[in-house]
Amino acid sequence: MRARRLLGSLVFGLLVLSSGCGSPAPSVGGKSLMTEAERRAEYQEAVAGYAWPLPPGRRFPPPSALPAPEEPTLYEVGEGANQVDTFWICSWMGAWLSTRLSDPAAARQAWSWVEKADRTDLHTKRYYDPRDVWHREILAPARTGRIEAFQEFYDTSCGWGR
Amino acid sequence: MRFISTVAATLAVAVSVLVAVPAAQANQLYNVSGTLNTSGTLVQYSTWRPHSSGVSDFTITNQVGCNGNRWSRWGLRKDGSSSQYTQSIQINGESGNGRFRRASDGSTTLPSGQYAINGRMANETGHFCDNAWAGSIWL
Repeated sequence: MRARRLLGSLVFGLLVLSSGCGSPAPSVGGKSLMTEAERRAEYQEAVAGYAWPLPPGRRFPPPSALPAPEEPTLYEVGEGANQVDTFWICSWMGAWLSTRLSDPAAARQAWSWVEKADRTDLHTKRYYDPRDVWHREILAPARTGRIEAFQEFYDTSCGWGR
Repeated sequence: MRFISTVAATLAVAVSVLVAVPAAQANQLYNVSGTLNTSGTLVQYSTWRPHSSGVSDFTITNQVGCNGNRWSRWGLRKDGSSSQYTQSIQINGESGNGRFRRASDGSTTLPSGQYAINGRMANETGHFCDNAWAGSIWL
């Protein structure tokens, strides 16, 4: 009788484990989701190891300045690092927009960094752009003086980074 | 003569249509999939996709659910921000679809930029939970 109860408990336990219900760390695409603290830690780590400079006078904000969610949230791995790349790209986009008519040397430097955005982890790992919108519709026209799409992207997608 | 003028008119219309539809209007249908959290907690996915100004439709073909309670809720964020840019779409049953609306004014025209998906499912405990989902997004 005791053995049957034990067996029953064991089977029930295995069922719970295999269902994944309520498990604290489910996965997306085989990768773990992160808590808010883990997202901030990922952000901090990405800032500490960032290889490229920001425009003069700019610094990465501390993790405590990250936009806070309005409710408990889990993040797919990479979202903390995404915010570092977004800040970096938007900072150079802003630098180019603010110098392109007044300071050619600064604008050239800013543009050289904007062109490296496609080498960031955001673009190479977590920005899915099969139509190559980034190059064809944003950078290419801006290079020839048609900055509308570039400006619109900056206005609508660079709230974090201004 | 009439033939030539008809051809010329047709060409003129064709050219004007081509000119009136800039490349920036060409959005795309993406297949998407993932896993939600059975605690009901909001999940922010980390893949960003470009969007040229226009509508965005979301379709679920493989729904999540626990104990027969099958629904999911979806939204888009923008701007590198943590807050959701659109109102949420709730999809009930085995499959379904919806069109995203801006949270600020209800417009279905989402401005150009980059977007990422938010999702959630019911907070359920049970042995029969399926938190894997699949579908598509027009963005």
